[in-house]
Amino acid sequence: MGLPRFVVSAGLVKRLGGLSLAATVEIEAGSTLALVGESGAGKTTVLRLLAGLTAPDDGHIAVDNQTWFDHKSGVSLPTWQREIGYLSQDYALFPHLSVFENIAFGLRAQHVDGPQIRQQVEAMLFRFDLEELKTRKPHQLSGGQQQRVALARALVLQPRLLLLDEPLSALDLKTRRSVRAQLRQTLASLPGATVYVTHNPMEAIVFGDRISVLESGRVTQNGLPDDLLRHPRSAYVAEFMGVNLLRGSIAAAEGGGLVRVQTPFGAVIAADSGDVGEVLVALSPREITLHLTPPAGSAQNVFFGPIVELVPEPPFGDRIRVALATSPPLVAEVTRHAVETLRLREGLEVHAAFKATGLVPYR
Amino acid sequence: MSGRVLAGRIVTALAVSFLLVLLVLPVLALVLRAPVSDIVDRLSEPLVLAAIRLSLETSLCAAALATVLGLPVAYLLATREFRGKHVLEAIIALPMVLPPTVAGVGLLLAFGRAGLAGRALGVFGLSIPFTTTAVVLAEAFIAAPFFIGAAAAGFREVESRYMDAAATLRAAPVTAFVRVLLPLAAPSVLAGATMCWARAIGEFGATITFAGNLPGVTQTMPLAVYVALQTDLDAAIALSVLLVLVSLTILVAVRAFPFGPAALRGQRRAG
Repeated sequence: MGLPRFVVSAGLVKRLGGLSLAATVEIEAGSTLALVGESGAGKTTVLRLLAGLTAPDDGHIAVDNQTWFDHKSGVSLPTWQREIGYLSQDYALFPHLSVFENIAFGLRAQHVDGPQIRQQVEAMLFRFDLEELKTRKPHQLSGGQQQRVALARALVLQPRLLLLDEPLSALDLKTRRSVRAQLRQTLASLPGATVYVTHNPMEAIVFGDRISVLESGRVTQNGLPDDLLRHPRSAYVAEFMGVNLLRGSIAAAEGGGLVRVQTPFGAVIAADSGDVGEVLVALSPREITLHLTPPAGSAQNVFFGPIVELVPEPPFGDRIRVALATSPPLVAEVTRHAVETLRLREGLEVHAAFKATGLVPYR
Repeated sequence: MSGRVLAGRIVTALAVSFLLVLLVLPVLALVLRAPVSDIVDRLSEPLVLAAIRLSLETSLCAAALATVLGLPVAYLLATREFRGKHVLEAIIALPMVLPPTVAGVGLLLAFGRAGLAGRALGVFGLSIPFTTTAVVLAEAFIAAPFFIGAAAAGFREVESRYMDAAATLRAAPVTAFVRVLLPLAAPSVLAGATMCWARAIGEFGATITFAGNLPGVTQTMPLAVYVALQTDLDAAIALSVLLVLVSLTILVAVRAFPFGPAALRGQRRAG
């Protein structure tokens, strides 16, 4: 039915220090956009621009057809008039107020009636399992508890746009796992849009209905997690998603449903997708098999080189990621069993083989 | 190396000793000469009592005035950058270094009968000089920078993330100021108000120039000391000792009371 209706639509331009940001952010109602990128790529700046805590140099922000910012017409709604929820990395709970008063803060600021405030805050305390802690001060809480208070404090105002800045990064690993499951449920039930900033691939995939990748202030890719996995558009995206990415060109189809992709490191044989010219080829580490002797078989592509690193994935998991100093450098993922039978170790030279059918060029 | 260290210690010790003598000796001399036996009698003379009452009233009014007018100024200085800010800061700090008599002359020229604002006030039948109001104005003029400086420093110390959080929770700037900035900066604001009050109690030069020296109307304790010095030395000493005690108590309280800015910082770090 026509064009997709974006609940949040923003074009943001800002020069700040060494960063030159020019990014488009679009989020549908009820969905979460995971915003990923390295430190200094501008993730937090995007959140601050959306929140109105930093003024854009140019651009526009519209939420539910309401203009929050428009450089051309000079509209700029102050932060306190934007219906947002904002969790900074350290949560910024008010140190002089109890848990109850922290959650009640926004309602009081809006002059909600006393009994209503009590009722809504109590509901939040119940929902986030904070009832026992309501008279505590923030410095008497654990990291996970502080995170829940910060979330309750923001959500009690029913924001149209929830901005989360690495909400799990301040937590230790053990807490992170339980909080992550809780947060996933909470976000799934929200009617508004959410921006979830993270540099953790797993969080991006778990939380993001879509993922936007920010590199040096530019969105280099925006899509479903699956798009990014299958068709990464930059070396950073490929590394973030844990897949191999090759850049090359196709002169002409080879016939038999195969093409020769000429890369700076030599040619690879790939499936014919109909594309010619400059292309990208993504290769899942699981498509690569490792051999001690040249493999005889159906794999059209074989590269030879030493093992650089063996990393279990996930930590202590069944599968091992094997980084290879082949040309081009590749990452393979094999079972722990394979590592043991082949006695794979750092420095060992191996043949890495993969089939053409696992490679689909795209532009 | 140890020679240098030793020399440093000697210089430091000499400086500290000399400064202590300079600061403590006058106070000690006052206390030693105090008419201990009849100090209460001296202080309960009607004119002395009137001076004490007037000093208390005017200094509290002046501190309140400086606080109410100074809070927005301190907020502005702490949170905004604007052209000419340095000049404004210098103007606000000026009374701290100006001879108070010069401040009094200035006040007279501004609010006196023929003064810039005085003439306009005269139209409404108002005349400020040589009234108790003039005392309050003189004291507030001299003491306000003590409050504004401390409050602005306190506001600057509150991390911006708390004010950001308040704004994202839909608090209008005034609400954020009252419910977040002021409570978090309360130690500095209270300390500033107290220092301002202490300075107001001690004000002499601007008061005598602008408000005169009318017993019961504009004669505060410092003025009463000056007058008594010429007629009744013991009364002057008794009043002086009282002033020293009051000032010292306030200064010690500001430092010892757990509203020192460091107290809250520690709590915040723990949180």
